[in-house]
Amino acid sequence: MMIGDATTAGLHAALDALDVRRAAHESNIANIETPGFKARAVDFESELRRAMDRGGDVADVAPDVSVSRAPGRANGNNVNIGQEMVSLTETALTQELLIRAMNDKFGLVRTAAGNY
Amino acid sequence: MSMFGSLSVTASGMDVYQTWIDAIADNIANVNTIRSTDEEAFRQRMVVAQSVGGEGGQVGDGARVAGIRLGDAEGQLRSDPDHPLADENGLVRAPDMDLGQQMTHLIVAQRSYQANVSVFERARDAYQRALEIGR
Repeated sequence: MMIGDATTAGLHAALDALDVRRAAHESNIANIETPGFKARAVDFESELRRAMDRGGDVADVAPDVSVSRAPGRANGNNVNIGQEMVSLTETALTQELLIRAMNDKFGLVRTAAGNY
Repeated sequence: MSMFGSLSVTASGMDVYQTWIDAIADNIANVNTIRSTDEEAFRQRMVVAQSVGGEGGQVGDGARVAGIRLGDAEGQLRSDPDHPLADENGLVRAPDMDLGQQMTHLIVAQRSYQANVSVFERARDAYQRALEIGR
């Protein structure tokens, strides 16, 4: 087991991508009253899974930002505040889960190094 | 269902009730929309909800808006001879809508939205606790 193995690299890539997703939701909420603004969504899971299955470099996985085509309100804005708040919470919980996995992983390495 | 599945289920419920509240707002805004008798009346918007997934004994994925049904185009004929849109018999066409019923629907929609927010908060706290297992 190495410190910088596939698990750590995968977790790192996922945390980076989740940060992009969080920023997208925050920007959507900030633009809730901006006329014509279309909500953005960030996807990275499928791409990351493919990269990990191939055994390729997960650092190359770029989060895919897509523009929502949901029908908008009269001012052309289609941000849904409920959806945004829920996704933001989902992102925060996933980040917490990944950080915990990262910490546990480092805990194992630390134990193996006899430093407890 | 995704990892924190119940959160997106509550979001789908909030979406349905948000749409219902929007529809009621539109209906109430048009409660006095008078038209001439050769036009159809303002037709109230009725939101049709539909469950998502849940076939074969599985837990479903929430709800969605299946569509909007429109109310009666006939409306109510009212006698208002001084109205600029009145026909030769002094009649105008008003929407066939009951303000009392719209207000009742508004309360149901608002409470249902709140119920979904409550479920969201409970589920979020449960997931938060799960993340602390073994800590």
